Amino acid sequence: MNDKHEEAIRALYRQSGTEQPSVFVDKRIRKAASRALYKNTKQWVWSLSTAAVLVLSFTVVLNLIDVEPELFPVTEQDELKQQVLKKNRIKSQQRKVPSYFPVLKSPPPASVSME
Amino acid sequence: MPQSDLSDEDLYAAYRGGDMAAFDLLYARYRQPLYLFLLRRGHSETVAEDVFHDCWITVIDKTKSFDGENFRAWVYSITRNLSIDSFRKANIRLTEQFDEESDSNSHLSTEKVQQDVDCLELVKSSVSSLPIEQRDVFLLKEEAGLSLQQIADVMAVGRETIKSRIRYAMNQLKKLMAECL
Repeated sequence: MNDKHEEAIRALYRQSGTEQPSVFVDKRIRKAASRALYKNTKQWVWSLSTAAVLVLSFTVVLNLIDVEPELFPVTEQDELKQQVLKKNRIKSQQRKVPSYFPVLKSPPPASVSME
Repeated sequence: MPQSDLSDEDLYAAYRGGDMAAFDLLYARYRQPLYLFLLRRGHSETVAEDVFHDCWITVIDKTKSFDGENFRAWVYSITRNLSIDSFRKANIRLTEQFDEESDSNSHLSTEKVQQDVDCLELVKSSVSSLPIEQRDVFLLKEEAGLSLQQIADVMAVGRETIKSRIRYAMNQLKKLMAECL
């Protein structure tokens, strides 16, 4: 009996629901959903295209240097810079072995004990 | 497999992957039940539409907060929380004293409700007159189709509490709708 009544209540309740949200709200929600998708896609496409453009430009420049070096002529200033860098490199190498350390040409005599 | 056969979770995943048609299908499935849930919870049509809109905006924006397990429970949980917030903002006292032992629903104006001749109107007004905890449980079971455990999770109470609230709600509805049964 109880179950029968409960079932009747459920059936009546199911029939009673006829109200619907307005079409205006439907449109607003659909627009927001579509905008969110577009925003996400846009971000993804922007990141990817920026990375692609950077990689492509870098590759093109490197290839151009190899294939047509005359497009990137070495100026006098560059040469000077290279000379200065070379000098600095030699100096730093010389500094690594100070002159006041005697260079041993032969092993120490055997009579010298290690005590 | 046609898209209409896909589960809610699969449709939501498809939408997150960029499929707008999946969203349309998901929206069509929940459009009326969610709106009715809000109306039966006691909101006016205008407020129900606002809360309904906010609920979908949350579904659209907070895609990461969905654990992927049960879309239905998740969306009703969002809707219920937004509804509670809305009542709170409007300073409407939502939580009524609920005494499960005494079954004291004497505050309900049974006579007034029973004056309604139309049984469909009577069932609406009877559900609306239930204490909010019982109403929530009834709606989440009948409108949302959630299981006892899912209702317990949404309402953050024990499964046994949910069972007894359903029992009290049904008993109350039987009393209020006696002339239609």
